[in-house]
Amino acid sequence: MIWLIWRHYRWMLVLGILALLILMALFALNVSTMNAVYQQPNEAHCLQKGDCNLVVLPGLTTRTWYSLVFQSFPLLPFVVGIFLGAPLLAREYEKRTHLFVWTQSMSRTRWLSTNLMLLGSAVVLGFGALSLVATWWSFVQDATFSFSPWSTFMIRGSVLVANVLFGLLFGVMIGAIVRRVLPAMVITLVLLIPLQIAIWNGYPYLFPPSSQLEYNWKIVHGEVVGILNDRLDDLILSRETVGADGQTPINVLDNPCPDDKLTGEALRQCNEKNFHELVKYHRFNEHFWPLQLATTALLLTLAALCTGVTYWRVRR
Amino acid sequence: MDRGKVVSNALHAQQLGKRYGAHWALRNCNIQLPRGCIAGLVGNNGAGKTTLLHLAAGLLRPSTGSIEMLGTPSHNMAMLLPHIGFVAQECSLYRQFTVSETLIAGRKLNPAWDESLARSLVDRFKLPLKQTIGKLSGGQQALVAIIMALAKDPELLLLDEPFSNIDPLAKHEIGKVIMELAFERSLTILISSHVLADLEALCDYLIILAASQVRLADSIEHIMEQHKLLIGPSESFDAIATAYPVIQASHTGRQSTVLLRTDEAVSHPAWEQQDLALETVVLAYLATQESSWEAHASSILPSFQKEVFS
Amino acid sequence: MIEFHLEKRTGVAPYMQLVQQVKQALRLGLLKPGDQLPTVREVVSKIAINPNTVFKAYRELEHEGLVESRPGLGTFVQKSLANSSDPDLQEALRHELRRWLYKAFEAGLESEDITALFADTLRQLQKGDKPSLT
Repeated sequence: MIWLIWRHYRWMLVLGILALLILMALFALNVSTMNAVYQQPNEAHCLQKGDCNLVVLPGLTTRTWYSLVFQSFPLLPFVVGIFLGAPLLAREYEKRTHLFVWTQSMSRTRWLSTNLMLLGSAVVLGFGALSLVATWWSFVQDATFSFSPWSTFMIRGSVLVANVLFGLLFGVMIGAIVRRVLPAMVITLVLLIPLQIAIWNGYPYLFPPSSQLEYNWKIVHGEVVGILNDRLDDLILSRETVGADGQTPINVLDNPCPDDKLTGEALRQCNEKNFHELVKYHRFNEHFWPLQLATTALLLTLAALCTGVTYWRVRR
Repeated sequence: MDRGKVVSNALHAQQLGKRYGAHWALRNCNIQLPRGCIAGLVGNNGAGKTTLLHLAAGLLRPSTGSIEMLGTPSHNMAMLLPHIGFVAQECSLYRQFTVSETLIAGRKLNPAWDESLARSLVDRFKLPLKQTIGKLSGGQQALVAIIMALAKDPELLLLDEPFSNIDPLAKHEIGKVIMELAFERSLTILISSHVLADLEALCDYLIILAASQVRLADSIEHIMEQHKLLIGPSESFDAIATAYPVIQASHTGRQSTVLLRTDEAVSHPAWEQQDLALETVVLAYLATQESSWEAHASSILPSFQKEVFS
Repeated sequence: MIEFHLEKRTGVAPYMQLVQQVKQALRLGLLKPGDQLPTVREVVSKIAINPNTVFKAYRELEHEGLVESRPGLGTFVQKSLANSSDPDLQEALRHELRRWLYKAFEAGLESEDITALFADTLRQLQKGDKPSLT
């Protein structure tokens, strides 16, 4: 059976390993270029401004590499789902080869299990290695570049691997239902888009956020003092105005300090007591790994669901 | 004869049915195929032959009823698969594999794979080992598929229209190979075809399917013993029709030709028995209209089927 | 050694075709007592025929006393069917047949009528009707 899977995917495996090695090399080069900057005092001034653009190779700078990664890595679950996942079962059904391979000496569920185990392991190992290198690079990149580290949340750590695995198993499920290769690929693409958008936007809600009153501004003596910018490493979930107890949201209609009844100092003191800004956020250093874990768990659960549906469909 | 279903039957279908939505591809199928027999499955296209074979190969699940192969129920397919060889109607091999790679796949996937048999058959038919399956002719593809099924050393061999789309020479060669192995290894074989002539010399048992139902399932010897073709005057047709079950009757002018199913000898003075060919019997059963079939159903059911229902 | 062949679609059962071919060979002297019939395996590998059919044909021939199966050795011809009757008797029969044919032609029968009449009568005879001597 292993021979059979090898025979089917040998080119993909070779290309995949090649691509993996090239990518890892490029990541490593970028990291070493960035690390070298710290040793060069004359270049180091760009670190303070956070807009370093260093040359890695002829034609490739750290910034172009970043945008390449940022734009292409989110597509990885799609690529794996469409080109590896969807054809797995769809191709057997469409070419009628399931009539051959499921009447040898192995049951169709064992055939499926072996395929999923081997493909899943290859995906996990390959993208795990890629993610290790990419995550290492991204932490170094955070220091030299001024984009929010949260923008690469979904393409680092265990989330990248789990997301690709989910893409794979989602594609397999669609292939099991649709049973024709090209339609399965198209439908996988079309259905994964809203799912990915939902996960990209929804992952911050998987872990309770920190909250802080007076995050950006504070009213002292009726005056707003200290407008602060958002911190780059914070992911803001919500901003509200709350009342005296620090929790209840203020409804404009229940203004506790109606300024036609109070004036002057009384108004100022009332404002100070009753209007608070409440911001809910995730701070990168505190919540990055818990959120990674929670998102990974969600993706693995979805992947398991897809696998369950696949087995159910395959059993006629 | 029926010594016990588990031991003596290679295939046992009880009220087997398969439905797709509102359409029944196979219905009320009751078959007991004795071990070691070589059975032909005949019927028109769409009659349900492929459905029955797919059910026997574990590729489909019954909608109603049950089917057992070699004494084991079909939901225990994992145990049965090593002992069943199946060849689909269209080429179901991997077209991008070469012949030798296909054989390797057989060796890797089947614990009981007989490599020397596979090799000898490939040599016998002069199949090009390095050629991809997709580039072979239809006959060669069919041969490879059959070799794959035979080399896994099965006890039950299921062939879905193996003779369609291949030239007469290849047909003959395939027939010879199958008969030789049937003889050497006591295989039970079920071959489907919509052409009876391809099967007649090969089979000793016949299953006739029409409109998704089994019309007849019996050994050919018994079929020929039980059916009688008579010609006689139309005026005394009713006398015959009330005394014996009529499978088919045709009337031209004052003469009638009638096909009866009976164990007794027919000794009506005006009616004369004719030589009967198997093809005549098959055509008669295939042509019988649905309504008249049901009218005769109770008289036509063989005795062992009556046991099943009671 | 005899070589069998099967004609499809003749209405004659395969096993009966084999039996007839053996008898024909015996009649023509192509098979003599002591000759071995091909083994089941040999027959099956030459023509695509059900092995049981060959078994059945050989059993039928054995039943008629024409062959004998020796376990482990094969099936051997026992009796000859070559015409052993008196050649003079044959000549007399031929003479009588010619006279009958003249009568039939004079009565207006065509060759086909004669053949039909002959085949029908022969078949009735084989079915066990006693020939009427009137």
